[in-house]
Amino acid sequence: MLRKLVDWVLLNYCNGRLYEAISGDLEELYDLDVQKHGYRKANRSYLVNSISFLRYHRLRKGKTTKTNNNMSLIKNYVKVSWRDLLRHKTYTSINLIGLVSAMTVSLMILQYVVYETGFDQFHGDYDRIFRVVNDRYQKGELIQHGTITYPTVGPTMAKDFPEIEAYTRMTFNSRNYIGFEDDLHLTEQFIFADEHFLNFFSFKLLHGDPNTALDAPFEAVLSESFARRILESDRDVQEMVGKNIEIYSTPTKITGIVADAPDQSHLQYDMLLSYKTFVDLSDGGADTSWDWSDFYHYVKLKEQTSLEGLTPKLEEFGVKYFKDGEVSGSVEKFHLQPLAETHLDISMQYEFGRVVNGKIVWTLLIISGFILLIAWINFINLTTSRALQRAKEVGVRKSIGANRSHVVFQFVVETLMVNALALAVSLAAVWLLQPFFNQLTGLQLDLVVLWVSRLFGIPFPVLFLIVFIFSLIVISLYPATLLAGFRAKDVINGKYKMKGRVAWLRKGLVIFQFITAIALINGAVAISDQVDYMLTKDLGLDIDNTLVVYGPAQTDWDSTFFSKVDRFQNEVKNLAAVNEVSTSNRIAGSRMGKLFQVRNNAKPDAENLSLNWMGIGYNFEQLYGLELLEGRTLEPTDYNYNFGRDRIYNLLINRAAVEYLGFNSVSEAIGGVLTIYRRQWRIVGVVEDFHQMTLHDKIDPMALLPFRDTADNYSIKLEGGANDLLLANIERLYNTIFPGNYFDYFFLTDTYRRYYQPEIRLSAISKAFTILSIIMVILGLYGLTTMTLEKKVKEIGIRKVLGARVTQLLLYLTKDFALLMLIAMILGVPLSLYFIGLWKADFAYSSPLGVGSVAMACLLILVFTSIPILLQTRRVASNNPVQALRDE
Amino acid sequence: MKGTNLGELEEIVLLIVANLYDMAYGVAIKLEIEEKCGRKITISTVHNVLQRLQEKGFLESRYSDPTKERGGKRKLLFRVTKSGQEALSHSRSMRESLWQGISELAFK
Repeated sequence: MLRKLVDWVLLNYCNGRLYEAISGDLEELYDLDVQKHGYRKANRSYLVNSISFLRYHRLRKGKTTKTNNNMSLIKNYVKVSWRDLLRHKTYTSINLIGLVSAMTVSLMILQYVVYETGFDQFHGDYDRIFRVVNDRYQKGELIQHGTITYPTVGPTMAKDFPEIEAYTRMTFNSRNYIGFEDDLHLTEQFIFADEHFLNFFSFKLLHGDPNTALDAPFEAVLSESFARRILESDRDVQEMVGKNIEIYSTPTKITGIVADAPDQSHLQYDMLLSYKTFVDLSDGGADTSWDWSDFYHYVKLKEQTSLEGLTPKLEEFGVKYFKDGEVSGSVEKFHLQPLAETHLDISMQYEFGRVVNGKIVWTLLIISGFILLIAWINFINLTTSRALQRAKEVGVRKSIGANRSHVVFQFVVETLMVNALALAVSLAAVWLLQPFFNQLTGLQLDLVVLWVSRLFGIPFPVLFLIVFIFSLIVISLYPATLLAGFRAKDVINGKYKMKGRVAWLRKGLVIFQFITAIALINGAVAISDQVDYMLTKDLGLDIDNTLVVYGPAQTDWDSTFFSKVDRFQNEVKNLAAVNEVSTSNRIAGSRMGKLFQVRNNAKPDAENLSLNWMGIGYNFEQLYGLELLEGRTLEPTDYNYNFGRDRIYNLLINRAAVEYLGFNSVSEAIGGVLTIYRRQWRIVGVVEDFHQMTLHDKIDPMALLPFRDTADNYSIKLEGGANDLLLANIERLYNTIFPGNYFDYFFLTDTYRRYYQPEIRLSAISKAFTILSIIMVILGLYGLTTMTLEKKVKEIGIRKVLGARVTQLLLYLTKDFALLMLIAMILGVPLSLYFIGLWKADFAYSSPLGVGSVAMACLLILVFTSIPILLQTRRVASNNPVQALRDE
Repeated sequence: MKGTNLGELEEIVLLIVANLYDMAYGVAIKLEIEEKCGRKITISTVHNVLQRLQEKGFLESRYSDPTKERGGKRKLLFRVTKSGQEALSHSRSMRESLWQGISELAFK
């Protein structure tokens, strides 16, 4: 491809007689290089060799020794343009400031966009890798759209579908402690990965054998950084291979060290534990179950296999093995999600990988494009409004013999020059501002990202240059043809003026700018409204002053366990400044588990229903301030540790579950009995709906079950803020009662803040965008009014002589702009409301759109843009008319 | 056209062409220079020098028959002309007379 292009260039460049010899020589050298150094190097030197031919005029087309006349013409254009830029400093600086700031921001956003869209492409064959995802239906309704499926799915698909070349299955664990040489170490996330994992993905195994490393139960591969963290000194990580770590109270052999997952990988890990370990721990369930869904599968399709061909087969697969809900409680539909799209899809529930909202990534790309457009519109407007000033130059050029295309070409060159200059300055600015930008995004980006990435499958620098130069030619053509339209004869006679059409186009462009600015400012206001709303809305769940301590997972589940929990709960509660202590297996903000086989005994023929569920310990309802609608809360007697099928258990449900389960009213639900996985449960209380999850998710029907477990986290409600002494006391109690565990805690409000981090960041970014776009619109208007007024100096003088007052003149001169602004608002407001609506669809609960804030936004932009116009106009309007008219 | 004297690189290329007799084309000349003179030279420079020598009338060229390698493209083969030969011997005799003029003491 590249070589064809180069060859084509040579064909057009070289002397016809020489072309064949040169091209043949290049070809021969290329073959030699391929043999000696391989393709990569050969390609590179082919390129260098061919480019070096362009140095020699002698080898060129046409008369070999003649120097090129156009070159000196271009030199002259550059020189004249440069002088012109220096002479009109205001004009130049407005233009450059606008272009530089727009380009700087665009480049930064582009960094972000190419970074986010480039995820997971370091895997060889990434375009053939898919993740198996799964939709579940009950009563025809989608109840789950998620990543987790059953452990049997991957192996069975690989067996049934010849299209699948390889598969890997895994499951995740988010927090655990491992022992190594008498110390406990926290792992934030590790993967139970099967024996195919290391060969399936392109994660680099530094030590160990990828074919056997994860073959047997209780084998672990540590990530390089985790291994270093454990060693804590400059001992070589390689020496860990073959030693044991302890996890789940079992010695586990380290069989390898794997390089850390690259930043741009949606899968991240501290450690890979052999999948068979999990099979062992689960007594085989993790290998053979058809209704336990906690498992993730990735498949690699054979080359030249289309995804479309597989779709109907996937449909059949769900029907064949899950029999319309008989097996797992819901109708199962499977899909394949391309690996490269995984990172940009936030719609999946039970997502474990790193994901961001792809819609926002693309929107940012579009917005940065719009900001560039605003800057270029300023450029067009300023250039056309200055056209008259350069008419003489054009006239002179034409009378010496330039034709139309020469003049057009001159201004295209000028545009390219100014923009190249702006681009260079912007690159420097991006480099300087990088730390701030990185702080804003929370990523470690730099310009290298732009250089090495691909967008839409094309190397980014190439794509950028093509788009950049193409846009420049487009935007320069209009002012250029306009200027080229001056006729030499008219210019020399002194009779030349602009055509009417021009003003209209310019007005159109200004309206477009206003609309963009209005849309941006509205967007920014809406986003910041939503962030405020999310951070302050009453969740129905009191998360203030709540400390969460991780559960003592290392403590054994035995007969003394609950007395330990009770003791810890009581002693912490007795501390001063502690109001309440409770346990739960899920913490506010995290996704709950789902019960799929739920039936209301009052409706025996009903289909399976599903309920979210959470296991809660004593006093949970009181601690989080849940509002009890009817019945009672859970009591210690509701907790049963011998979990047989022969008795009835008690549970709570929320208001949303009442109607969903088929009860007509809250009071009817009290005493109702449910069958959940063949066990009987009685509803003893109904609580008001509360937001267990963030406001992105709607409140689903849920059940609160009386469960306590070793891994449960402790919620501790404090009277006020925490202090070091209190924390030290809690830690002391924790270490006394649960020795051998690792004390770690966090505050719930912080977690919520983190959940909303993307929106908080987006809010900051959109504010920056807005300010920038307003500044640019103001700059553009300032330039434009200056130019317009300069042409009207005499008119204003005459009006004043005839008795016009300054206020009248102000009104007269600004009414055009006011009209433009009005049109822009009429168009811009509904447009922006539409897009805001699209964005808000991501939230189950969003702030109502205030008419006030929209009006405020419009007013703001009106004020900001009128100030420079009014100031400028006033200055001209209050001049002494004598000065304006004297120089006739 | 500039004078008909030979530059240093021109002389080398001319000599190499003579050396390679009937096999003198771009890549061969490049490789030969790199081997015999131990210096790197890009293919474009070789072509440039060849053209210059041809303009001065020291070389003549013709296309070979199509070959299988090189993407089926023909080689442009060079041969030293009569005046090329004269220029070379002129340059050689000039050098020799200059060498002879050096007294033995000069390099002591």
